[in-house]
Amino acid sequence: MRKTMLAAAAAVLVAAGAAGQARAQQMRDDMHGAAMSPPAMSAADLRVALNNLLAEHVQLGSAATSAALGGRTAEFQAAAAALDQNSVALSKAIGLVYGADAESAFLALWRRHIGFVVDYTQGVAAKDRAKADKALQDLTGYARDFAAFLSSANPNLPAPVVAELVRTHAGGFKAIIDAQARGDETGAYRALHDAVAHMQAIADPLAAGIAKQFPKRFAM
Amino acid sequence: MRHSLLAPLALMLVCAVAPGAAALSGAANGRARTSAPQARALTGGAQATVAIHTFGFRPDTLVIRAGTRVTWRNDDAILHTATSGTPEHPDSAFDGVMEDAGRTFSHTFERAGTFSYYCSRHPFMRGVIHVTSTGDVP
Repeated sequence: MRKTMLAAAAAVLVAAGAAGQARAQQMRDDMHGAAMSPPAMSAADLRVALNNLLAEHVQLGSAATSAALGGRTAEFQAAAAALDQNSVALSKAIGLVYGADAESAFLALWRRHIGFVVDYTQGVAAKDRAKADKALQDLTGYARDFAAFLSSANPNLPAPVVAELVRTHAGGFKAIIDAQARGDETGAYRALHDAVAHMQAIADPLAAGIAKQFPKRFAM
Repeated sequence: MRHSLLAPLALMLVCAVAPGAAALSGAANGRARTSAPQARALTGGAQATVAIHTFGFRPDTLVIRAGTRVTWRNDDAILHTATSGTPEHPDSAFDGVMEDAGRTFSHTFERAGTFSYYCSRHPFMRGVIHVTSTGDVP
């Protein structure tokens, strides 16, 4: 089933040429806060920027949960702040394409799933099974919400496919937290590697779907 | 100790709060059509429409005359509601549940005032309707 979903996601992936690293960095900087008029960028630039932002999302999230579970206050605060900056940057990327209303809705929705991960981490830390299970249920519901959001914004992104990809992301992050909580550093980093790699399965179809929807703005 | 470190992250999830208010009668109905969403609308007619698209009420601020029937139309493929009040202070004036894309909910605002509403499933989705006395809106 999951393979079917991933295959469907791959079907929307459009091949693109390699982007120049400087250009990709420029777009990433733009998404991190600078004012930006409607850009003329390549589909490859978009794909690289989204891959970077989503990979960063997992890495910073892992840093935050590791610090929280380890009781490292200063590190946690820095990681959480950086994670939220990443969320804002992602929302700006959405806003560049779909406008300010979609940007604010995306940011609120995105922050919700981080809240559910916080709930799960708290449940694991406190050995509160009910709280952890509730958080997992919320993440499953969130996957449907997030998929509906993207599908509403872009008909090239089928909701069931997106939902499955998000559920996989949530499962991957759960594996990171579980390993961190039991002190399995090797397992945590293995899970982190897998979770970061999986973000490409979200970033690539997302970029491809946007480029297909706006072919003049995102040249192939 | 370590549990307390998780709390600050939750604080980042706080959304802006809009003032709450009450309203009057509501009813479910069939499909409705409307023009493209806008940031703010002023309508002097007896009908107005709010589209729900990409997790937002569009327009999120509406100015209408008393007696206007407002119809919310869900364009997202997920359940949304138009629930009167705010998440912090809900009231029972109306609570329209639109399970999927194409579903609508209507409510007639009979008296003047400012009426906040939100989506109970996605509390960050908020809107407000300013109802003027009959004749106040050009």
